[in-house]
Amino acid sequence: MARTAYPVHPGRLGQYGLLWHAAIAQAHPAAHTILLWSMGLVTLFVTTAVALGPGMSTAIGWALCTPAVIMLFAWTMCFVPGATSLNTPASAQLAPGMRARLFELTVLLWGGAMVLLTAGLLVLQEGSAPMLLLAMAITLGVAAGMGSVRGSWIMVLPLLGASLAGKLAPPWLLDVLRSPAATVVVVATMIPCAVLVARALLPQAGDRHWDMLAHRARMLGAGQKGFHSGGLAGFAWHGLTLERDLARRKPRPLLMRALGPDIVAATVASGTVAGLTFATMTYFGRSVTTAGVTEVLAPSASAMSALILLSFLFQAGSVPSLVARTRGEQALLRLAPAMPAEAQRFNRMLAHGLLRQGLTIWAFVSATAVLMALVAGARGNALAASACMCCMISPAIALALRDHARAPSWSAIFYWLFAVGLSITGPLAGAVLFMLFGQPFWASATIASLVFAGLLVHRRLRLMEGAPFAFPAARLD
Amino acid sequence: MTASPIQMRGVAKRFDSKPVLDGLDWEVGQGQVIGLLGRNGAGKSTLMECVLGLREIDGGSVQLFGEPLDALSDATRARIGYVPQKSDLFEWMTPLQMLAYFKALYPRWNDAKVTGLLDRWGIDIALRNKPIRRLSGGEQQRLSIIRALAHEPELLVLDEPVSALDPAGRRDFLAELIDGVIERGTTVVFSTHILTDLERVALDVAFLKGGRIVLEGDLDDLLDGAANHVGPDARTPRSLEDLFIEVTR
Repeated sequence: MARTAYPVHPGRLGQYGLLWHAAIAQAHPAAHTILLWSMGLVTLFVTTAVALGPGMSTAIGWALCTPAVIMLFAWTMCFVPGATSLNTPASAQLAPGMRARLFELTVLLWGGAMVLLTAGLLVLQEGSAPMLLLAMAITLGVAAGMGSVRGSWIMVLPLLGASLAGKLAPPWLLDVLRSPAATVVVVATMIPCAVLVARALLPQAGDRHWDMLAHRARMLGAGQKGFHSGGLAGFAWHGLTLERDLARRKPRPLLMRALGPDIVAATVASGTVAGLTFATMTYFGRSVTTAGVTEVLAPSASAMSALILLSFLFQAGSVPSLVARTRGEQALLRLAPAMPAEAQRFNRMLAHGLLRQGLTIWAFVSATAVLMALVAGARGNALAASACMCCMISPAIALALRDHARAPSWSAIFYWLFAVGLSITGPLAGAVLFMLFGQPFWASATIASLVFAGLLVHRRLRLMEGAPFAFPAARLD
Repeated sequence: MTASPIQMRGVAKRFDSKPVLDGLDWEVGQGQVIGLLGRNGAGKSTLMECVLGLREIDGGSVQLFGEPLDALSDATRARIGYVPQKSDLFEWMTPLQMLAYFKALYPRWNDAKVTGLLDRWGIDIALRNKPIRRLSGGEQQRLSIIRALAHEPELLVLDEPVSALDPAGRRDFLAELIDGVIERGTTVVFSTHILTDLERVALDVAFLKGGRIVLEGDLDDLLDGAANHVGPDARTPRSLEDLFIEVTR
């Protein structure tokens, strides 16, 4: 009898291994290897750095926490989306044991990472309960949100509780939270929470499963076309402005229509909602109550600004996937006589459209972040620091400019990490200039970021112009 | 002399190291209605995409209406219609928005034909204002065909256009293809696995195998001389289905 490469009846561990690889490979074909290497290298680097500084016991704590955090990140952003797409109604109902193994694996991976994190935090500090609560809320909340689990917003409560506890909680409660008993209680609470979320993420066929898939399709746009946060605003604005673009018959706006609903409108809508909500809370906090509430809200302005800037990085990172998702529509557009017939002209038009879109979104997001800081009471250096942070994320705009025909269509999470990497280039340069030449950090980092962004955009514009026809995207991958 | 709508010379296309098209020569004449046949994975869709310039070729040349693919004029592109295998139809738009969008991209657009087809093919007012993603697969396929016919192309490339249609939808489509398209002298390249449909509309058939057109000709002539096109040990094909199986074996 011929031998096959895979065991015919893998044991439970073998099944876990197969499901793990099948789920995580949807983010990137080499995601497993990338994860192992990054976990090993980052842990080694962090542990060595800490061992040379604060000491050996702190280094042990970090050696436990670092892989746990990386694993939790991979679980939330790569494994769970992959596992939920593996658990189709047909396979959940008909493939023997598949859903059960996926469910067990989901809980085991999360539980294992949390145990490692708990151990590390216990080595590093006395009270680890608030931090664990925060980690649980973020990972389970984001996973449930990405899986379109109804009621996943409830995970915001421990997040808010953990972030406001330091300001609002009475001292006795803070003491209780720091005690080892609180850690035990939190760990004991975490397990049923994880089981509940995993069960909701991986339903057993039936109407609830189909409803969940339909809800996810509505959130992401059918077939994940036109995915972006605040999609409804994009759809609405698309309907309002389409007639104008059709009447003008200008090729570039018509070309950009092939990429889905207007993501600038979606960003403007979601940014405006976030900004107005924050401004209203701050206003009422100041006028209705004593200064206590303002004191609570004002420090969170920097966190809100950072969150908005991170959302820009996520948006910038999602553009390459967004372009790759509408390749069928792009083929039809390529044949239309109103579009340029030569690759260079076509690519230049697309590049300028994407660049203009990226710059508009960046300008809006930056203005929102700075205004929020202003509303929250930031003045002088604090306000300037907010503006500098906005400049530091500008290199991510260049991510949209690439050889779309050849570029691989990986999961958006990889592009997002890449966007984060691009935006820390300026601060790294600023830190080096500060340490070597005593130059002011914020000014150096801002200038370095802007120069880097300019050079990167220039280079990638040239690259895109010289590339094969950009549409249909990812056909030469 | 008018140039052939499609002229391919020595076209090669590989995916990684696997050749899909291997020195393929093919010419489709003006007004010809040709059915492209081949097994699953033979490369029919790839051939159609290479014909239209949607995929780069690794060797050879393709000309449409006498113009090389990399220098097609706007006027020539306006003469081409294409229905892809999967009807990717700007799912975030409504049918009316999508049709208006393509109308803006083409110099010629037959509004009366569009309205007539929408009415006859059951895409009523309510459906016309729904996002396309909410339409069924068959409705999307019909819309895709209407979009491709609206600018009255002189070369129509159809990649399994009836795969998502029910029998009634297929009958409507074939009637439109015969009366509204073929009667006008439009050149049609049509790939499908439903051979009875092909027998109704196609006068010629071409068999794709091993990256080349291995057999091509008038459908009736091919069936009459079927014994000449198969190996000595094979039984004589009596139908297009038999011929398909023997030729592509």
